[in-house]
Amino acid sequence: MKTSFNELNTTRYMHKCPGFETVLQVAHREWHGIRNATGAYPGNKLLISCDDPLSGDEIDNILTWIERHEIRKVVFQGYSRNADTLLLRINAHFLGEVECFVVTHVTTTQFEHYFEIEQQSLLLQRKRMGSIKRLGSVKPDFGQAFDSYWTGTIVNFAPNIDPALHVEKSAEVSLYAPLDVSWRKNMYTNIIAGILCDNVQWVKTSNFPNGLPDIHNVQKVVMTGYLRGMDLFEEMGRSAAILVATLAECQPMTQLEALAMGTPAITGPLGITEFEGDPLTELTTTYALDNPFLLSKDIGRLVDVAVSDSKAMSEMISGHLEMRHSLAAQRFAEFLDL
Amino acid sequence: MMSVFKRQKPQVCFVTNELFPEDRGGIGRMMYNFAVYNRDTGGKADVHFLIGGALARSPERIERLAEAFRGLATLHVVPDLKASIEPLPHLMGWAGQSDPHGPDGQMARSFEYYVGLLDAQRVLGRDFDLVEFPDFGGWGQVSMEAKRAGLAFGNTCLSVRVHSTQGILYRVERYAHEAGSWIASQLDAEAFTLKNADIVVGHIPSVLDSTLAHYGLAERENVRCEFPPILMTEEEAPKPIETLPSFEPDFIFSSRLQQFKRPDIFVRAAVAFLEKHPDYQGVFRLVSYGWDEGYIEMLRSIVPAQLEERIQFILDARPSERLDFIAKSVVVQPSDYESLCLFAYEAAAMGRKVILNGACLAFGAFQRWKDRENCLLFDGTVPDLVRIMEDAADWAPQRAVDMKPDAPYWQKRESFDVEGANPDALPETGTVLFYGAESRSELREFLGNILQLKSSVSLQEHGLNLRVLAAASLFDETTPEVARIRDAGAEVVFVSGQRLDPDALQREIEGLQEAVVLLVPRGCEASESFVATGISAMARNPEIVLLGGHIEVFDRVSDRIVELRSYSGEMPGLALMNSRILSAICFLRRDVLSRVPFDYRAGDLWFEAFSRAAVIASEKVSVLPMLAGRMDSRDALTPENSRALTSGLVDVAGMGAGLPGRLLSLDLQRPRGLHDRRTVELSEQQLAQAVQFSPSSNPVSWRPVEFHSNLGGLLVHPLDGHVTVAALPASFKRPKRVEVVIRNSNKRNAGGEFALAFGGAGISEDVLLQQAREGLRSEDLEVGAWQAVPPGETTRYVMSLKATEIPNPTLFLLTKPAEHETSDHCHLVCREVRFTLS
Repeated sequence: MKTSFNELNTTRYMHKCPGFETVLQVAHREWHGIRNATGAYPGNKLLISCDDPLSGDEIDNILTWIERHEIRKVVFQGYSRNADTLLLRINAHFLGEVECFVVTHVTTTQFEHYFEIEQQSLLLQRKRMGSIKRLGSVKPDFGQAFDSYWTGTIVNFAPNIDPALHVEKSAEVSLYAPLDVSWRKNMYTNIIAGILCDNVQWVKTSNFPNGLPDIHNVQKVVMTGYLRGMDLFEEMGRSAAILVATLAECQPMTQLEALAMGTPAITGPLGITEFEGDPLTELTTTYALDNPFLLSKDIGRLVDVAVSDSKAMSEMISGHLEMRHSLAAQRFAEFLDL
Repeated sequence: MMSVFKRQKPQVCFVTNELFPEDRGGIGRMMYNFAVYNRDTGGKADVHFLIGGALARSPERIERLAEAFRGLATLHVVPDLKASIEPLPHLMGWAGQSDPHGPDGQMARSFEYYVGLLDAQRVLGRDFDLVEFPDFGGWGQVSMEAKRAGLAFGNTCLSVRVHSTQGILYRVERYAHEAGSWIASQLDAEAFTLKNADIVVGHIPSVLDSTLAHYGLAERENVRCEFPPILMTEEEAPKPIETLPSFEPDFIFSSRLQQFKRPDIFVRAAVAFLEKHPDYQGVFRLVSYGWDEGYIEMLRSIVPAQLEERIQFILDARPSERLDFIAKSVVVQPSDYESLCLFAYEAAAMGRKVILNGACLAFGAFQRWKDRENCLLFDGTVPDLVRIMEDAADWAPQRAVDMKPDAPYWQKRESFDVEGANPDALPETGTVLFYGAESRSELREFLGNILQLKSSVSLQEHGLNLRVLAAASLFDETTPEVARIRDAGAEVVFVSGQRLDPDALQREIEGLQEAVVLLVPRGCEASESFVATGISAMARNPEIVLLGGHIEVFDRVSDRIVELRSYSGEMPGLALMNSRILSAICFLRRDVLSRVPFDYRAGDLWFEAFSRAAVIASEKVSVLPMLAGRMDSRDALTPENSRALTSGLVDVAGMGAGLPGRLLSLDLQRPRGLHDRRTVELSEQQLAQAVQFSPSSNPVSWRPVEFHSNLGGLLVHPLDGHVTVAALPASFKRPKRVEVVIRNSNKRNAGGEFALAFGGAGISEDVLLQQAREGLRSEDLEVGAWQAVPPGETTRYVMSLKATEIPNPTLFLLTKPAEHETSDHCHLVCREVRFTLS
């Protein structure tokens, strides 16, 4: 099915915060990262397709559903032509009784894809028309660069996974790079850096670094194949650390999923000023994004802490998550005028 | 049924798939008459129609109907479930479309009416006071299930009108229909709705009694019998009796050409009559229609060639032409069975002479038809019909048939305000029993479900005990998940062995304190809302012993729901052949096991045997119109049925009925659900994911491990002085066996050798190679023996696998040159990889 409300995938790991019952969030089925991020947010969820046009019946059914469930605020997480059609119909049907908001999950780096420019242009136009009440971003300071945006940063929630579902770490220390093969995701640098870590036995990867065996020793590399859902989470949980040292990000879900499974993830500087001084953020932030040797030092340091004092690491992670979720709920409520 | 709208007019909704004037069928006509009658008697009720079937999908016809019913009634149309944006209706719509003539189609139609009623109530802004379903088709099943579960219609009376069930018609037309799951599910649904309706209403006492007797419901309460309004349009209005042109009138048969209407009697009597009176001037006409070409051809074949001019089949008459023929003919209605036969009344009211089959309960056993006074009755045989036809010329009706309608029950709230059974509410408690886990990851799946149920607000008010059965051979107190499950507030009970023994499960259930148990097998996850609704439904309805829902099958890899498994519930006919009767996630009242025990003799199909046997034994089984939960597609691979299971159930039913012969004589060709999907073949894309595991430093300038579409598979080229190893991710649940087809696709080489290994991806190259050399097996790695693959030949390699629990299970494909030979041109290509799962 392409359009559905409150599918289990979008509610299983959500945070149940009071006050969001009248909020509906719309995400796209095909955009997994944003969809998973939306799944962790409180409130109702609607999945639509980014490609298959919504039929008239589907739109009517969505409007009826909104009415029946007394939804007052609709938040589009990510934007598409389909989302735009729905936004206009909601405005026309409810005449302002239901307010529309949009949260974008894009970095300016991604503007090299013309599609992203088009969507921004459409969004700014809708904002000018008054169809969108507020436009926010999960990219820190996006609102400082674009006038029409809300200036605060929307903070993503990590999936709400009960610690009882955490798995034990593997006996042999392993890293996991669940990265796509793309320039932005920087998979090769992450894998090479992982291989270079002396305190690591295995570097697991979802995608094989083609050609790397011709130029580098890859004995440590283990291929997991493409994993999803609990299979992915458990693989993260078994690892000492997750590699997400990518070249451009907003708030990567891979990092948050790892934290939800009690595993730290190394990332580039994400620039969320609210987490300045947070020990976990400091320990897991690297600036050596295109230097495997230096990156391996940062990873090695993180692994040392994770392995030598797993209790301290768990506390650091739970402290971070507690702070993040309280901030995320407060910020999201502020954004929505709840 | 208390309603805050008591003082308002009753809101009454009739469910139908045909409606006059768009349709000419009897039910559609009666529905129209109801609306007109209601208006003409002061509009005591607000009449609504919910339209389904093909009519609902024709906007032009609905528009014309809306015009015809302006001021008479409000029309509602069932939604297209496929366009629904809520998971269950959407999936149900697609399941129904892909199996329109099977149990899924039956369930989807009933579901469509249920959703349509809920939508109509929303539009109306209040609940209907009465919803009346026709008996035909059993469309009320889902709505009645929803009502008894407390999901909907708490203030609504759900009634069923006896028109003619398919079940009765098929009894009458004994040898005219083939068996099948479509008819089985329809017949069962009809029986279900007659049994579970708040009220059953019929038109003629004898017909109503015989219908209820057929369904074993002679003692049921809340039965109404009332004669419906029969109204005539202007063109049908009584005309002065036309003087027939001679003493030799025409005769007409003008019902549908269908076996139980007995057009054959009419034709045979016409032939006999004309043989006896060769100079008779009147004509015998069948002005009708039918959809069974073979049957119509058989009717035609009764007519000798020389009588074709005088016994005419007119199958394409316009309505006005039909009326003209009727106006100048004696009307013959030879049906074996009718529930009312509007046409006979209409014809009599038009002033026609009417000949009716006195052996039919609706005519011979109904006091409104009086022989020689307002009709002529014959005894159901051809000679007697000939005799009556001979009398017809000289006979004239002395008075009109009495068509005065009884005051309809649906206009008076008091007559349908049935107080439902009010049993002492049982406590809403029970045990959720998770069983069948054979691996730690399956225990973790249970734990996930336990945590979900524990955190559910709607479940906190219920006293639910959570219990996990753990196989003592596989788990013990040191298994980390055991402690976590306990920490989460559930009990862990160790049971002997590693494979679930249904007898042991039964003993466990019988030893529980609570009378109600929710079963959750491995690979399944119970939904919170199902648990909450189900536990209440079990408490409200102490007579229900088994209660399930529907199941969505979820594929983790594609991240999609791939299938809906819809279950039919109380369908004893279908249960003889079909296993989709009750979801494996189900509530069970403990005492049912004393009557229908789990039966080890059914092997892996013990649950299917149990649920089917329970339904066949007339235990009360309910299927809620909601998702009971979700099943991992990897656990949905096993067959749900077998010919042996089905044969056994049919045989037991036959013995129970005291048949002289054993029903093992039936050669069951088509029981559903035989498909075994436990064999999984890797796709080309999956083969192309292989990586070179060894040698880790490539000694040659080309890639020894690479997918080649021109070679039709994955090349694992042997290398001199090395073992070449390709690694393929193989994340299957419980792999039991792997089979690989390997081809040496080049004739100009010295041959190669091939072996398989299966283990965790984290195994070291050294360990793998050492075990491959020495042919060893260890806890986390199994290596098979080397097998030669001569030049140009294809061989098949099979290896049995232990069910081990290893992270990132990986299949390793190993090659090396034949002993003392070189590897030149040795293109060993792996073409097929097939896993069999347990």
